[in-house]
Amino acid sequence: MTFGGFKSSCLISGSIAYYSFLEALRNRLFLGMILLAIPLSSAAWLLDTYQLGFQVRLVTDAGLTLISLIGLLVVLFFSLDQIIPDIEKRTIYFVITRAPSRHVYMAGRFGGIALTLLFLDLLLGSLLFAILRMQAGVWLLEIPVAMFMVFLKQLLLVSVVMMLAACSTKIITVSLSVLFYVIGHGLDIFRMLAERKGNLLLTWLSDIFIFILPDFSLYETRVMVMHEIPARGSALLLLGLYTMAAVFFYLSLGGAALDRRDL
Amino acid sequence: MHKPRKLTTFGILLRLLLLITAVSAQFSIKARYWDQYYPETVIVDYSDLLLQSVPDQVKGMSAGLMRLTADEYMHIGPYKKARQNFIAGSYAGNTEIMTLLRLALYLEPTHIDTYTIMSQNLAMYLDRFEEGIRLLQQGILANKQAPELHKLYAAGAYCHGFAESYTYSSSQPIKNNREVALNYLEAAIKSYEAQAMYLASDSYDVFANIDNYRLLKSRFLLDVGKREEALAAWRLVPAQNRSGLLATYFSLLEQGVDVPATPEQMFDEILKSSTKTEKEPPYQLPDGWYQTLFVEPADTFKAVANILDRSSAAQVDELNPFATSKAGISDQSTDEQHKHEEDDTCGHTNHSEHDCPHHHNTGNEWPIFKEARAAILQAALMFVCGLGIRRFFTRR
Repeated sequence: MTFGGFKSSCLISGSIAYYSFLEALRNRLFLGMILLAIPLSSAAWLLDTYQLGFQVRLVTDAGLTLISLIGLLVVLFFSLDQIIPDIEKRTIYFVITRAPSRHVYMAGRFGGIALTLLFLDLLLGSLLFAILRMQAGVWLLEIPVAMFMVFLKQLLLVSVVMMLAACSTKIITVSLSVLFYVIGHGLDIFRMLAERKGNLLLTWLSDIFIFILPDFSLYETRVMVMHEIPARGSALLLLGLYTMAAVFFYLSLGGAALDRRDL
Repeated sequence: MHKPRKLTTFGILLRLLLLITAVSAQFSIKARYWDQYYPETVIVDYSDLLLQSVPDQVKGMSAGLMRLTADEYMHIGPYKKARQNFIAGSYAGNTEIMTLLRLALYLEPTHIDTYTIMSQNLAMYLDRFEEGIRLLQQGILANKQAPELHKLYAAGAYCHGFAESYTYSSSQPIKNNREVALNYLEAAIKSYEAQAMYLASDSYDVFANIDNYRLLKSRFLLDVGKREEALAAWRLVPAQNRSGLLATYFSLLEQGVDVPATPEQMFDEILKSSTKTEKEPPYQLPDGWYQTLFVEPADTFKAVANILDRSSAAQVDELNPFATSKAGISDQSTDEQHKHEEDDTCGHTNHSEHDCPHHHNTGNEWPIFKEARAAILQAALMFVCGLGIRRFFTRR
């Protein structure tokens, strides 16, 4: 591929991402989620039954959990809305006739969801950060770091969902995505259980799964935030590297599947 | 062509009869077997009513999660950046847990221990005595038939009986009210005795047990000036629970010695007499009486473990922190064992990787790679696979 071709692919991908982002912003479901999340995030002090004051740990913990949960819902609903409806409504033809390859289309759609998630995380994360600053008077720098990790986790999940959406139906995509998400949080535990069982085949299989399935437990922020463990730049860098590699892997798989799909 | 059947009067009446039967059965079931559907929870407002519609299993699971989180917060302690006035490992004064526990109680109002933790925290450490007692009363109302109801009464007795010690330096100091505490204790003893057959033998509580209640009762009766009743209550206290100044006091009282009104006054008189400035008191103390003022923690630990009947004497010694620390000191002192430690090449099984110095990686391996080796490998593998797929499987 020449530099000009690469530049053109990037531009097309970027414009698909931009319009996907606009499409998501105009979606009523997304607005509903934001409208639900904002009062929930801001209502932290309403839980103060005995007027004991603002509880930093509780609000941080509940806020991050809420943001993560809402992000998960956005990923599941909006990633599905990117490819499958396009194929069903045949609108994909208009895009792929102008795009150099289906990979570009997929990258653009992924970029759209990534922008949407970035917008959501920035909005909710800033809100939580501001609430904590105003109420507790502390700069909780763990929050932006945690939000960054949550964002990376969501990107990885989006890539998995898009890979599945490129080659299967909606119901299978949702089921498998949830399954991967759940298993991805406990890969080490499954590996340990298999090893303890003493079954070589199971251990070997779990080893394979560890290498193929995404490891979502790497993105756990709770211990770091709750125990006030300072984030290390090298760890974040490695996490970013892992995410980018894994995202590229799953998207390329999805792109290859979409490429071979008879539309 | 299919013609719909005409509705007859008989048909309408039959349907009405069926509907009436169904509705009356529905209301009769809930009216007659109400205890099967409604717990003892007091329904005060619409939120309580709404909560009734959520399945118990869901509520129980959520409440359990909240209690677990509260326990985790308690162990973590205060947030360093925020100025919080409590310590890790204790519920005392912990404000972070209160909201979670309150929510857990909304969901599961039958969890007795949550009431006791919250009420004592509110009354003793958080300057909210009335709220604490009110919460206990709510708990009592919601758990009238529970076998562990005595714990709630005992918590009430403790709050009323000892509030002064905890709140004297606070903005709202509370005076001890031993009369009210006695009422709560009486209720706790009655409840314990009534439910004794339902209380599991393995649910022995170091504080909330009948022997302690009787001990406290005798002490509180002394404080309100009912000496004879106090002595009668003391006689019900088993021998293993009799120790300290109170035991000495009651022992003298039983012997008919003229002792002051309270054990503290007796103690003061003994101290004064030891300075030889005043007349000697009209009673004699047995030799070594002062030893009973102090309780050996190791002995208490063993006694509790024996009552629990959960572990052998060897295990008790193993668990005993005092014995362990002594053993640790003696281990370090013997040269032979020093030598063993030096020669040991990690053949021992009890050491975890982090505890054992032999397992520590003393090499020059870069710690980042050590921590994230699997992640790097996986990332590299995926990157290579991605490139491969892009290279070989993409249609040109």
